[in-house]
Amino acid sequence: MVRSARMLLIVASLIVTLGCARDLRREPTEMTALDASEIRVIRVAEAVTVSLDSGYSRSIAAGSQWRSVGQISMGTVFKPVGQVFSIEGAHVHEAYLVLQGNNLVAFYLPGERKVNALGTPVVIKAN
Amino acid sequence: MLPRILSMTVVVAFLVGCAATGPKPSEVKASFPELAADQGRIYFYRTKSIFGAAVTAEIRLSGEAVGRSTRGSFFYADRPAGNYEVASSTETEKKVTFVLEAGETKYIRTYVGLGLIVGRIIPELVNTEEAEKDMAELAYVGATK
Repeated sequence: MVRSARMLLIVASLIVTLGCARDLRREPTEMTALDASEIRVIRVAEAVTVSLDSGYSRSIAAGSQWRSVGQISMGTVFKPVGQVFSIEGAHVHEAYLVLQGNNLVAFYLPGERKVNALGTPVVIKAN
Repeated sequence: MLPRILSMTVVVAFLVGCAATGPKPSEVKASFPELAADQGRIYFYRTKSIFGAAVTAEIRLSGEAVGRSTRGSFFYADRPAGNYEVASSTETEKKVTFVLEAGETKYIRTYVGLGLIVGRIIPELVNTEEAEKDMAELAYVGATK
């Protein structure tokens, strides 16, 4: 009986832990749309995995294409082409890449007009 | 003995749930109205997975009830371009935030995650190709509004 109760407690703790991911750190930001002449499409050459401050990680697939759509103070914002991309914490957020040169420095959350900055930039090999 | 029977009853109750009934996408999509120029369409669906089949919950689109997450069903809502939030609460609430552009179609899949008592309905954004494949055998149940 004691063993069953202990087992139940462990399972319950596990479920609570799994079900309560940390929320992503998000800051409001303003995006300025790019002129048509500034828009470009990049293609990711090598897949990368990005660790989020929520504890989750997210992969950016090799071959995925991204179109520049705007500028924020941290860099240029790229929206996925023909795909939907999201990042996850306590909740799920549609997300675009924010690049400074070849470095992924943040995710822009278009549904909230907020940004989730990465602690450490991640190099994106793209062409 | 009694705890074992009770546990089994809970597990069976969690798993058993009837799939929704209604026409398939191939039978109804042609009858859906064309989008207005300033609007986008959001599809909501849940596959026929039997995990947590009996768990259902209301789906809210930016605070407005638009339908229920039920096993094997789909429906849609047309809305003006803008920022939206989808939530479905059972014992905890998990939300999805996204932007909807004019003429765009977004897909939200809900599924049942592990919960302490009844399981949690979790919404997620899905790519068009995957969503269309998922939805092919689901039943259209219509939105609340």
